[in-house]
Amino acid sequence: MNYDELIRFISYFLDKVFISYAFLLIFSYTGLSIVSGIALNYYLKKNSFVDYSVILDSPLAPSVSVLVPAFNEAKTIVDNVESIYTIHYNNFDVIVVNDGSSDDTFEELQKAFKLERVNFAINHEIETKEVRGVYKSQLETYSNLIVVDKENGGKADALNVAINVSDKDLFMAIDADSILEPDAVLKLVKPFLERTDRRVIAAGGVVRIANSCVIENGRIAEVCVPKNLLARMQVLEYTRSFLMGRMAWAKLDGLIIISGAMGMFDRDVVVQSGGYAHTIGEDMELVVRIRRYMSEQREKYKIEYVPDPLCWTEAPSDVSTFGRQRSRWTRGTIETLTDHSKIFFSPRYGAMGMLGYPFWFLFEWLAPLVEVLGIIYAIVLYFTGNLSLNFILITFLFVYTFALFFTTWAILYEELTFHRYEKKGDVFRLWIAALLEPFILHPISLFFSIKGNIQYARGNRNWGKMERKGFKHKQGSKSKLQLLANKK
Amino acid sequence: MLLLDQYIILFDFQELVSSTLALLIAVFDFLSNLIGRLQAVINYVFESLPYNALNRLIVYMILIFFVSLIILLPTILISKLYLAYQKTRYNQIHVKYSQIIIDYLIGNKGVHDINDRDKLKSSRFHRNVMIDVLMAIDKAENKAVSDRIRALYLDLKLNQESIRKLDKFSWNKKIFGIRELSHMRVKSENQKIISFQQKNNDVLRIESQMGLIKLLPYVPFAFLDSQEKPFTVWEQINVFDLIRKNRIEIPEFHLWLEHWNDSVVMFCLDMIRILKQKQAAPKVLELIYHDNDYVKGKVIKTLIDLESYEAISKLKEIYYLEELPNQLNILRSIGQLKMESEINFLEDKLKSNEFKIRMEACKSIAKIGETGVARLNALSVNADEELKGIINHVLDPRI
Repeated sequence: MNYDELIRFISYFLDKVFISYAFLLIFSYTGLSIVSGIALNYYLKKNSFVDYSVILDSPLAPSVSVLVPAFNEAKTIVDNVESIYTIHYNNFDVIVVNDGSSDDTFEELQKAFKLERVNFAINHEIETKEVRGVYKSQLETYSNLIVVDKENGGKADALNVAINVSDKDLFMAIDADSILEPDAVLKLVKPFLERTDRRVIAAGGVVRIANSCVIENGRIAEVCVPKNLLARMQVLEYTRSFLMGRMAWAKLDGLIIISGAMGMFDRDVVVQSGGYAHTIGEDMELVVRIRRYMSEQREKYKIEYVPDPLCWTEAPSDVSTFGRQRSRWTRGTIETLTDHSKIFFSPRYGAMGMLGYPFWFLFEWLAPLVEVLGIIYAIVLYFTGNLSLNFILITFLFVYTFALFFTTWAILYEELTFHRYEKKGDVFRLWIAALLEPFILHPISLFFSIKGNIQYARGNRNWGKMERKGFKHKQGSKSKLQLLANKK
Repeated sequence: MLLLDQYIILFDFQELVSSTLALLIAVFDFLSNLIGRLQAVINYVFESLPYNALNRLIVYMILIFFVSLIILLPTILISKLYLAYQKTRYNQIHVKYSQIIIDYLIGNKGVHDINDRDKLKSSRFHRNVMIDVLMAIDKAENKAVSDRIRALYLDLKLNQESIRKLDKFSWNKKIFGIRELSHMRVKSENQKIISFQQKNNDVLRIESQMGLIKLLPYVPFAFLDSQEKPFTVWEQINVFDLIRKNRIEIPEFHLWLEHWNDSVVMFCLDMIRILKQKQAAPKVLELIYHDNDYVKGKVIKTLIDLESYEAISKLKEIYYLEELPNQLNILRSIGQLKMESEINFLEDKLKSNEFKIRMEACKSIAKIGETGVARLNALSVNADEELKGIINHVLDPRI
């Protein structure tokens, strides 16, 4: 084989690889969208007969702990804890863990909620960093608030301490800046109540972007499309991911991630499988590990997914914060996938091993790498005269029309199901963002995914800094604490 | 004048027909032109690319995505408008019918004075809104009002609409039928509703159970006899809610304690416990050696909530044979009965290496009262660090 033949052979081989990969990806996403459509339709029909209020005063309802890890959140922590108290549920407590903040997070909490140190004996079922003290609120309204002050150990460590402190049946882990819908706990608890022969070990819900939304008394008072273009494009990304991707994966029993911003878990199963691991993507890692644990114990289980928007969070609105987040997500994904490589195409782990894990490996981890290699390959071919400009253009048009079609499909799902963007022109604004997304968000996202891969290869396991801009609060809205103070 | 009106209408109609035709021709022309140009673009693309299957596939897929986009965009718009229209229409008719029914109920109108009967006969949408209105107003819990509403429902022959729903293919339509018939106490279709209990669709199954509880007020829990599928906690919560909110004959739940379906047994144990059916205690005690640990856990809780002091010796007897969750249940139960005589048994458990057992035993000792607290204080002097911490925790009134 001479040099030309070798080049031709490699070129032929790479052509087939890239094209097959692209078609596989497109068909996978299309398939997932169809499955999620079916699942959404069933869920909506089913949900139309549900009266969640029956759980509220039922003695048969399980107890729930809401776990809030906090690190350097002094500016927002009091508002955030207050917003948790807008949820509708009876048998619950709130455990806030100050993870050795270097700012006044703990002092703010102490002052606002009149915290007092108590003689709390912690059962160290999961090993954690040292706890400095456990505090309870003296205010009657917050009598079920527990604040733990501990040495810094990272988010996973803070959550593990909270799990040790909790004595409830279920726990809901949320981010300190998450804004919960009032019925979030009720909706997440329900799948656990529907357990039949398969134990429900976790339930996830849809996380939405709260940028530009109006917040009143810890609740979303007005849903708005973000003014910031980067945040607006992330609305589309979240809609695709939560409404189409995760819904379908839950239906196929292959869901391997529940967002760290909000997820509910069976406490006993999490403790038995060792709690949160000290990784970057601790949310995904936990789901994979508890699933693995149940499979290895040969216990029947399932992970449920609630497509209702249950939690609102702030999305990064500047490129550097967005980049740090995306690099961290990439590192987290790689870490989880490599730590649990045993699952890859292993029938022992059911749909997770045969579908969920391979999909994440092929289309979440490898996709950015394949895309960059594809672009480099196309450039080389073009400059060596082996590729026409027309072919490049139609390939680009092919990818672009698919991306636009897929996002429009997601917008349609949102409109037909939960219809949260009600203002005139909202859908149009989102669609314009969809037109621009492949030119703006996608290249940025791709760049930081590659950066994440490089950082991982270099051994970077840091969480990085996440700067929050804070939410827009409606003027004149008073918090519960302010109302209490006024009463006095 | 009338003639003039007719002329105007005729004139407008002719104008409309001719302008519509012209519009259709223009649209047709535009579309053929567009298709022609599209065909030209595709031909150009095919000519400029090497002829192979891949290129053709890519171009056709672009076309598919593009056409899908063109379909999706107006679909979003139309669905948005349609949903808004349906909502407005529903609300308008709802308000109108609510007023009619309120007039009927406060005596201004008789059954035969209800207008809109023609509309109700011809429009399914109107019939369904009327059913919704009747069911919403009937939530007043007033027997006389309820009877009048039921009479009106039957008089307007809305029951036929509800019965028709039971035969629909779609399971959610069937549920609407069950809800309406059970709400209006129409018993003619009971057999059909009973048959839904064996369906695989869990929502349909739950609704048929709830419907039967309402329709058979003297034997509301007959469905438990044939309960083959697991009776989930969600179903139990709904059934319990129905018991609380309606005038339903509450049965002796110990009748199902020997049921082969463990989930039914657990539900009955919960009901015995919550409804304080103390006469069931001996039957409950018989289940103390049940194979299923979850059932056993419920048995322990039930016995103690029924204040069955005689069960304590049995519980102590099985303590060492049980897994941790039930050991904790036993310790918790003894604490609940505040029996000073059991203080030594509880104190013995403080020697355990298991944190949870020590904690539960301490809590139970503290619940006994002054004697218990004094014993804990005394124990704290020579206790190891963990036990000291637990005792401090238990004795801290702020926790």
